[in-house]
Amino acid sequence: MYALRLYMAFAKVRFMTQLEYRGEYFVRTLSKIIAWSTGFIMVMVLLTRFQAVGGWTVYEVLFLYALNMLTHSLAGTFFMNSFENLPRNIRQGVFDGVLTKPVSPLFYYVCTNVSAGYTSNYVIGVSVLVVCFAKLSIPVTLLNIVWLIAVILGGCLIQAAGFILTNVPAFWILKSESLMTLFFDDVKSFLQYPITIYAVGIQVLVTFVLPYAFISFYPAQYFLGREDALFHPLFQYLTLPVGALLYFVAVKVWNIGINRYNSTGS
Amino acid sequence: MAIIEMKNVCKDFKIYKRGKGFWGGVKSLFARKDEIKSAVKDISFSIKPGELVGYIGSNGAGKSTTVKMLSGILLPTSGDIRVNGIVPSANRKQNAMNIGIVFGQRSQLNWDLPTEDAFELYRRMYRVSDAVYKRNVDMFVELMQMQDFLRKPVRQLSLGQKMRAEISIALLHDPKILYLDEPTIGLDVLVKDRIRDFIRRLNAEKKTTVILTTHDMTDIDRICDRIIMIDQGRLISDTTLEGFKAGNAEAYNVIVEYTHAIDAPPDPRVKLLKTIGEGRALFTVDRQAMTVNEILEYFSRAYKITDISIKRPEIEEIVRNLYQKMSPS
Repeated sequence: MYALRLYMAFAKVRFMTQLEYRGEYFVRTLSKIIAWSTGFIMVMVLLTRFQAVGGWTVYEVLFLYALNMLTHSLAGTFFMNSFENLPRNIRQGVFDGVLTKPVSPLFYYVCTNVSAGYTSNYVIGVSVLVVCFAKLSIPVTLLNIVWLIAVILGGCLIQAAGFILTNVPAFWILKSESLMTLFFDDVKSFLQYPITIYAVGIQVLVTFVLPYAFISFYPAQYFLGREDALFHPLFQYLTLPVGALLYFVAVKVWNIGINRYNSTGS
Repeated sequence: MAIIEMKNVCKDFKIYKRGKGFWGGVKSLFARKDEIKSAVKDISFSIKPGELVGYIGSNGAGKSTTVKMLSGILLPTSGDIRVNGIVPSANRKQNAMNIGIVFGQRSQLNWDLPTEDAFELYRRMYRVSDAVYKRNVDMFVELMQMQDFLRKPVRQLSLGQKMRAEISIALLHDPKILYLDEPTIGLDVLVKDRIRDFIRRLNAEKKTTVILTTHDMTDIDRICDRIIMIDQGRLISDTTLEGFKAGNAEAYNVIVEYTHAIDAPPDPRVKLLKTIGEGRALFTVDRQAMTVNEILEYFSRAYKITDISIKRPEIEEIVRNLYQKMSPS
């Protein structure tokens, strides 16, 4: 209760201050809309020309895309601003203040860096999912809705772990911004299409090494009734456990990292 | 019972050496040499509740590193730290409730928030009761004269206003210990005075233990009862303020006003530093070598005196002499 109330207080402050710089807020929201819609448009263009990619139709691929976008935006609300700036905050010693508060450092750090810029993405993501459900005639049963929520939660945890794990190395090497670009942004771009279109190596990579395929590809298989994956069909049910495990590991590594923090001279 | 206990504490940092110039930089991409720098070497001290301790040393002596270890930000490489009975870096949340911390060089306040709202946020975070909150805010606002800027966003405050707000916010939860890391840096004389008075007042009323690092020796003189001095990470002195002044002031400054000099044999123990205009001169005399009686005797033989003052040097001067004797920073 204390944590929730404290979060609300911090989040309110964050939202208010972000809205105070209205110009910046609108530009950022607009840039997010454009960035994600160009992705959609690319998928649409490609698929209207070729009808299908790896046997997946337009709305099936859009379904993949929407799952990734929605979980990225939900996790990003809490972990984007905080972890993208972590290397800089470590180098500049700003992190000092995080370690001297009467709440857990991760909680405090996330609360004080909540981002207000993703609201448009939620709307787009949910709308696309609804359209896909309709176009693909996925039955809207209670089970499916609960399962979708579980999948989104699991996806968020994977995304959150991705934000954390690709930036926490900054505690050791100080400058680590390129790790996030490489191991998060770049590798995740494989998720735009069903991973079955890629070579086996890449499918292994996004399943076992950096298991981003559990964000969209495997759970989508369940909803689309597909069993064309290279690996065991059981994988389509594993998003939530994989997410929980990854997030758990990420928090452990974070805890080791903060004890390696060296601050700066002042 | 000590409230702060440091036993044989060391802190090493690993520093990566980069080669010189472009090719050196390229080379160190592949073969990196690292070097261990010891910032704090085997420091032990213990502080009792309610003490006002000045923690001094030249730039890079290890002051901030010590404060950061005491507040749980940094882990010591070896040694044992107890603050109010707990290990700070192992119990950060609990430790945070016991301490207040102010870095003069770095703001803790949210830039976009009015001071009053920042107070509210901290009250929530530290779970300060309404009664304590109201009492403290009233006291701080009055003593620090903050009425005029409570509603202004922090980014519009002057440095002096900001520092007053920083100190107040660090004390909202009635911490037993207050760490002040260069709190008066860059402030004008009036604000400095206000802050110094405030800290003494706080210590008198709430028995708050204070550790203060500063380069302003007037801060030390006005606030502290005890001085711990470190150099290159080593503790080199730990005494009361009076003991520090007496023990390290090796010379008296003697100012003599005279109508004329009498031809007396010069004494090697008395050194003329400078003449100040006509009939006025400043001497320095080794305290070990001459008693005050002997000094008076010497000058009354050497000059027709109209006025004389014999003074121990100010703390600023003592510290300057000590720093000069130590290695250059």
